[in-house]
Order: sequence, then structure tokens, then C-alpha cells
Amino acid sequence: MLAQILNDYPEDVRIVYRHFPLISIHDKAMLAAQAANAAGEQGKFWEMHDLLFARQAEWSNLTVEGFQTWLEEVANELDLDSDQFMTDLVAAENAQQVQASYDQNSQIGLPGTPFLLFNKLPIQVTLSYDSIASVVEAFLLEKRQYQACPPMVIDPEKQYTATIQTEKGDIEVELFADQAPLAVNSFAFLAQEGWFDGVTFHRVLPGFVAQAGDPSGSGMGGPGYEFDNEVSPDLKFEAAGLLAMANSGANTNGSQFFITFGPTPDLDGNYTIFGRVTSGMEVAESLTARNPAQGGNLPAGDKILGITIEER
Amino acid sequence: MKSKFLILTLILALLLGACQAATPQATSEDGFTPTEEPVKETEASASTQAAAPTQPAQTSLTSSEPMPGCRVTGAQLKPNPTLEALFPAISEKDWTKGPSDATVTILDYSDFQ
Repeated sequence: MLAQILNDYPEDVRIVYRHFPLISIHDKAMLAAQAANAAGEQGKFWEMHDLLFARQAEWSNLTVEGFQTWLEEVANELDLDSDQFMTDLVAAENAQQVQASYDQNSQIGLPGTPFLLFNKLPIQVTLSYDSIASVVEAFLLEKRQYQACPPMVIDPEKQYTATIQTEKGDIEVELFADQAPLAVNSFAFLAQEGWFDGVTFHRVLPGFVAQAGDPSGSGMGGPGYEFDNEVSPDLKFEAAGLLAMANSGANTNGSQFFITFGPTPDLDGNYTIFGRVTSGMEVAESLTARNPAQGGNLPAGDKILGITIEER
Repeated sequence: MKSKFLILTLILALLLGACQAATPQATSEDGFTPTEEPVKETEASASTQAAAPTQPAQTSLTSSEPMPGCRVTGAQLKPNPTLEALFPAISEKDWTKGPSDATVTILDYSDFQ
């Protein structure tokens, strides 16, 4: 899985492997770590690493002695000098190194394995390609983020409409520039900048909402700025087709937005409603359902091709 | 050892909050388990007072002033010095794969068995 990530992001990702053999429950974890190190002595750490994981079923039920024999066989398969490998495998220095690694990581208090850190941040991922790739994308997105808040590109006294072109068709939206000038301004600015082009509806929960606006597709990404909520007492989440800003707390609006699939009164007061769908609601309803909270690999979401804004 | 574990747990809890995905939160009514904590106060609300005073729309349109009520957030996935101190620096002794100047370094603490 990580090999696939590395393959797909050859310039942007580095993997660092540290041994944390759970010796109290895994009788051969220690020796397996030593085997990878011993292969590493001959420049084939990662080959052994991949092989140990890929063929775990072959060796996990062997005795320690049986495992040693098995290792000797695979050392040959990897074209290692097997005598040297067998010597390095049980060398005191190797064993001490793995033990030291175990001791250190126990000290840190790692909750278990595998434990992944992204630039030393323990971002919660499900161990799936999609989940890990979306975190990588979130880091890469930072290169595109704005260093300043957008200028006012709209006149709140005028009328605006937006066309959200998706792979499934167009969704026409009336924007509420008078009631939510900040949200409409940011949305119009980002649309003109092409921010939404190619962005996936990453969270589509039938009966609830369809959410998009994060180019990383992780749900963690934003434009590099955030702005205040605009809650109008006369705008309520009482129907399908409302366009509103997603946030991660009060006044943390960025680029993520959602379209409601029905009345969602629980959202009243906490999210800025800044538009409503005037046509193409069937397009919104046809968007591929996906729930990132579910974990695992998700179906590919539907993409926004572009968003155009029109002043009336 | 126990106290260190507590420290990590605490930091993890803080960080997981900080790196949370934007929501509208699904309610149990919708048949989904809420995935995030309810709205959390952050430094964002405290800095609201720093927002530029609202300007008449006409002025805003003709000026290049940034929109009011908006703040630059900087990197959302900020490095955390406390955590960096907890995990030893990546060195030549580590088994690594990929460019050393990669944007993202994934540190994998793992067990083959």
C-alpha cells in the first residue's frame, strides 16, 4: 500500500520504516526485523520488507527454527549471499539494534502497529490507499494555498448565479450575495481562479448532503484563509437544494461547500447558507455516494469540471 | 513510561482535533454516526476582532482591499515542535525510500508479523 503511494508520488513522498516488533504477542517479530536489517546489509532492506509482508501467511505459523529455514530460502530468492545473510541475521549487533528500537518506541508510547506519522503529525487514517493518498494530497495542496484573503470581487447589491459543471451534468445555483456576501465573494473568487476545477464531491451522503470544494479530497483542505459565518435568521435548512459553507467550527469557512438533499434543521445557525439550486437538482442527486468516515477504499467520486459565475 | 504515554495520548487528541475535516455533521437521525466533535472554539474566533472593519460595498469593489471578516490561516497541517521532539529525527541510520526533500515524509512504525 505504501509502496503504491511511493510509486504514485515519486517526487513528493518519502517512507521511513522503523522497527516496532510487538515481541510480547509476536514470537517471530524480532527475527523478522533482524531479517530485514540483514538483507539491508546487502542493500535489499526494502525487498525483504516487501516480501515479509506479502508472504506473511507462509511464515507466521512457523516455529522460530522453521522461520529461520524459510528465511534462508527466501534469501536465495532475493539473490542475497545467504551465508552472509544468515550470519548477519543472528548477529548480536543486529539483535541489539532491533531491541533498542523496540525499547525506544515503547518509551514513546506508540499505541500499536502500524503507526503512521505524516511529517511527524499523527493524522488519523484508515489503512487504505485512498485514505493515505488524500493526506498526501492535503500536504501538497499547501503549495496552492493563498497567502492573503481574496479581494471583493462581487457587489453584494447585485444578483449572481453560478453554474457548477460536473461530470454528471450542470447544477444551476442562485447565490445570496445580499445575505452572505463573504461566502458568495469567496466562492466567486475561487471559481474564477479555477480552484474548483477537477475537485471531487468527496463526501456524498444520500438524504443529507453532497460536499466538495477541497482539491485534496481529504476533507481537511482549504484555500489558506478562513472567514466568518453569516447566519441570516430568515434562511433555514428547511429544504433540499440549499448551498452552504462547510466548516470545522464557527468562523472557519474556507472553500468547502455542500448542497442539501433535504431539510436538515440540525444545521441551522452553524453554517452559512449562501445559495440555492434552481435547476439540476437531479444532477446533484445522481452524484456518486461516498462516506469518507466509513474508511477503506471508496468509489471514485464525481468531479466538478468548473464553476462559472454570472452577474445579473 | 506511563507519563510519556499520557503525553502522547494528549497530543494525539489535540492534533486529531486540529486536523479535522470540515463538516456539516451528519446526525444520528440521518442514520450516520457523527464523526467529529461538535463545534470547537479555536483561535479563529478569538482573532475575529482583528478583522478589518466592514466597508461600504462600493468602496470594496473599487479597491483591492481584502474582504472583511477573513483571516489567513497559513498551513493547516502545521508542524508541532512537541511531537517532533518526541520522535527521533530521521537520520542515516533509518531505512528510507524516496527523496530526502520530499514534501511528505511518512514515518512507519511497524511490525512484520
